[in-house]
Amino acid sequence: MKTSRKLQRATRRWLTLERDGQNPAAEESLGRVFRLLPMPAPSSALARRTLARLGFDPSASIAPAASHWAFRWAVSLALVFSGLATALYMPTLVAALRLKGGANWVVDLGAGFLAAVSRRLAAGVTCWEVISRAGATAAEVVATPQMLGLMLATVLFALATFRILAGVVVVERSSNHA
Amino acid sequence: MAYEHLLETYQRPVFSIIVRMVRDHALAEDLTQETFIKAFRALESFDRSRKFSSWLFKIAHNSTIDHVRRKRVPTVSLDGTDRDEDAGWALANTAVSRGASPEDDFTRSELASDLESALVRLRPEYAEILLLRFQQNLSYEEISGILDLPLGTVKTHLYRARKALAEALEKRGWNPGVGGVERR
Repeated sequence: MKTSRKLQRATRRWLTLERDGQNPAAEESLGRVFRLLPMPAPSSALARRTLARLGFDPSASIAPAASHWAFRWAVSLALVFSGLATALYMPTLVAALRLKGGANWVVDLGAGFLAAVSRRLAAGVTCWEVISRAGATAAEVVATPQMLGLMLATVLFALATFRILAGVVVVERSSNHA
Repeated sequence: MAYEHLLETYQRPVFSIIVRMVRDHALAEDLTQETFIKAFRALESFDRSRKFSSWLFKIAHNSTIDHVRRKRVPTVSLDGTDRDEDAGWALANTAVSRGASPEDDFTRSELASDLESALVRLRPEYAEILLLRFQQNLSYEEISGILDLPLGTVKTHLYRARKALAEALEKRGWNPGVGGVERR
């Protein structure tokens, strides 16, 4: 709906300015009409056909990030370190698994894992309590009428400054096209 | 695949200009493809101090104008407005978004379609200059370089193109009214 009204308003304004002979304003206004007009698009296969005619294989294209040398080095180093770690620790792991008889060691492993996770969660809850207390203290300070008023004034000032700056940028861009 | 990235970035803007000049979707795709192939082959000769888009639009302009002159594409349909109506509607509906109500959707589509129809009925060079200026936001100097025209001529053509477009739209019944642009 907004786009419909915007296009109508922009077109009305442009035609009015043309009729009244206000050339610079009419030109700027027509620019707005064109920005609201959808741009026709070619079929999705055109790019692929063009690349094929140029001798590129579109299916062979790789993601831009993956073609960067740093990415390739990082992956290579990660593979090397993984291999080294596996070679160093695998014998110890295999030996440890061999010592564990039957299925009991699986249960012990699972219980140990749950216990470790619970301990970590408990530590996390303690941290959260500290943060929560700090937040409550801060909220008490901010909830005073003076602080609220100051925060509101700051937000309004920031909004007004942003609008003014945005207007300056738009005017500068328009004058660059003149 | 840097060229693939260039293709993805500029394909639609180049196509949108060409299709309004030749008023044929399939032909416009062929000419767009030709443009990028020529650009790729001439990449080594591209002056990096220039804007790539201006250079590309110049190639598109030359390819399209060559074709128009070779085939003598008529600027106005000999069979009346039907082909332009269809062309305008088709172009306008390639990216029409849904409005809040069917009436708004229809009105916007109708206005967009009539704007497209009016645009394709202009002389190709007028349509091109309007699109380069208002859709691609190129300066007069850049347009002058692309079309190989003096700066004064560019301004004159732009003025005449604007007037022609306004007249074409008003002939289709769109006039500035009190409540909005109304079709009478």
